[in-house]
Amino acid sequence: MYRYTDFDKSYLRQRIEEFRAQVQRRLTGVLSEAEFKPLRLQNGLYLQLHAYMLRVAIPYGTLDSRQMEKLADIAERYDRGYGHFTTRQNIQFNWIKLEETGDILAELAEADMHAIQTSGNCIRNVTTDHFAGAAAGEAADPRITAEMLRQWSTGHPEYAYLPRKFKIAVSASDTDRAVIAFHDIGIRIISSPTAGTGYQIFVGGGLGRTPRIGRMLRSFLPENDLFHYLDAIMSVYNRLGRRDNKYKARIKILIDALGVEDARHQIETEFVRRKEKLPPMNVKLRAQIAQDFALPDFSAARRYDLHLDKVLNPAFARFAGQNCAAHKDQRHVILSISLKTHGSPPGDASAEQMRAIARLAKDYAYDEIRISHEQNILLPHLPKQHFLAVWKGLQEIGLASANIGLASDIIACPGLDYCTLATARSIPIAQALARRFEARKREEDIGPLKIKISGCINACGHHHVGHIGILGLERAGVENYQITLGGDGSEDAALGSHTGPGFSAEDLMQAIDRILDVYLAGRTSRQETFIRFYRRVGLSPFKAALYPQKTEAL
Amino acid sequence: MTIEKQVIDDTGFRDDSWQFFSKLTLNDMAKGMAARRFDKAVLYLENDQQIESCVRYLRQIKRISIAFPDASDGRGYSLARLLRLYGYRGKLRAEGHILADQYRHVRQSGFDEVAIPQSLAKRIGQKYWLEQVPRLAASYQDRIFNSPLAMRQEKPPIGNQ
Repeated sequence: MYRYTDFDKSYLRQRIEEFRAQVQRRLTGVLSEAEFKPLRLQNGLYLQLHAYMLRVAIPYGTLDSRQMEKLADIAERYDRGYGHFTTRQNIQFNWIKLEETGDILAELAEADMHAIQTSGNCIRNVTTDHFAGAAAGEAADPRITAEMLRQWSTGHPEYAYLPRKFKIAVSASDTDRAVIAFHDIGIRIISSPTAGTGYQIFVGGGLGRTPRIGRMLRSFLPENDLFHYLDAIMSVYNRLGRRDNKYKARIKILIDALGVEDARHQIETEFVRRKEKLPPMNVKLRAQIAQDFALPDFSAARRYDLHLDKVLNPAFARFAGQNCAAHKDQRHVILSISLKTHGSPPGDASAEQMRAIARLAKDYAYDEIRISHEQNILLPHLPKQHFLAVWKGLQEIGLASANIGLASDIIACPGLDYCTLATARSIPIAQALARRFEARKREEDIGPLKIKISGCINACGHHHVGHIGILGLERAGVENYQITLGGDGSEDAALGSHTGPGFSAEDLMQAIDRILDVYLAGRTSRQETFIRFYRRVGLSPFKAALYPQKTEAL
Repeated sequence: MTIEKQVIDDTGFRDDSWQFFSKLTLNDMAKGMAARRFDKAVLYLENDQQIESCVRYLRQIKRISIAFPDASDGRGYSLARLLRLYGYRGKLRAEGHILADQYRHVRQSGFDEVAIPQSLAKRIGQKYWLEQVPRLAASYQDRIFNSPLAMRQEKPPIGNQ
């Protein structure tokens, strides 16, 4: 894992000192709220419905036990004993006092953590594949590039006041677990036998009210050119992106307006200029960072067959079957710990749970923890010989749900329970759906299914890329939930299609049941997953089941 | 001309030495006007202007001011970088609604100084600006590029001044 240098540490101290002074100036009236807002946002501090919310960065979702314990401390000391893991691999604390934020940031800095650029119209926390370094077949560990991106974007003087927020994701795998097609910039690391390591660059993807699949700008960019090229994209966007309407300010709208060809031409021109005038990338820095991401020493792990543990313990067998992915080293598994216990708010973890996971990671799994954009926690390198012990530890803290990738593994935004922008509740909908799946005991039969819920058109719950997407709106003071089907955030990127008129919160439950009935009755076998079935049959059988009267009238 | 703006650089509040120079716009330059008076003029740019028309004069121009109509509008930073990339070596001023907290961004993007309305300077006094000066040296971007502001024979990197 990346180890903070003296530079990182002193940079953080300086930023905290600066932020404390800004808070002081706000409290004494030197700064107006309008002037203070972008400054607090760049330090992760939002004003929400009931209190300030602090969003702490977990760069590319990687942390160790010391950092997880620090998050637990903060949840207990400054919040109500829990935190909420987000779809950008970050954590949010929802009940924060403005006067205490300086102290919180100072405590975070003790564990080499911060809240810099987790909000505001700047380059946000860079995300990547939560299997990074553990999955087979990666062109490189994407966290090396992600850490370089963190450094390049942190405090970048040119991009602190962009037209709108800017999100970058990196993947190094054929299987895209980082949703790169739906980011302002998506970066795919590739390796070619002739040209070496390089990048595919996608631009202008995004969700929100104008969902777009990212468009490819470059099919191969040499490794050392990355930051000159990104600077070219950012500079063109910063100068030409719209600032008159915040809903038209993302780079996807600029790419639409210019057309990909013209956008590429402008960016390439700027790229050539920067290549010519600016010094080359610091390859020594990259080599140092790469060393930090060397895999742990696996030599103590034994060959271990889980078969007997599974036979003796069916509940463990179910858990292992559902929450594990293959590790590139056969003595290990990649374990996903579900933060979607049926009926609890997706992504929430208590301080005790955080501490217990930290302990398990330290005792059994090389002290490494990941947060996924699907709001779960992972132990990326778990030796098989310790798997049973870890499972027992997870049972003690109520985090042994065997539902990773199933219908109740729902992504949901905070919605009307916390967010000032929300038009409808999303967490209670996720909770109700999960309880319903649990009661009917059919989610294992349904198999892989991604349900994603947003409480407003801004789509923080990624509903456009849910196999089943749910969008909560408000119609004449009543919550109304629209459904989309067939969205896909993977390498087969697709936007979901609307089924038709929305449903009340109550009717929504039945509507989801009907959708699942259509699938279960129509699939050729269990091998035909929901998303494959949808691609074969399309929207119409679902429409017929959801809106029977209408279909008959036609 | 009354002193209605406050000029600020790394030494703090300073008198405006530009107030007696003539005022040029891109429009003037497009018409080929004032080509011999560059040493006694300031080129005033809006932050959304296309500067290609003035690129061939950049070696002669000595002073450029870029407008910052609003503290949250960051176009001026990229325009400054672009001018430096095109080889502009004269003085560069950021003028308008700029906060002390943005002094780092201004300086690291290639500007030398800022000019703000006196009303703003009364509220955000000299000490807030001077607090920022020691912070200019810390730059992640210098690490990524081995000093990005060096721009070859142009200006030295902020961190090495």
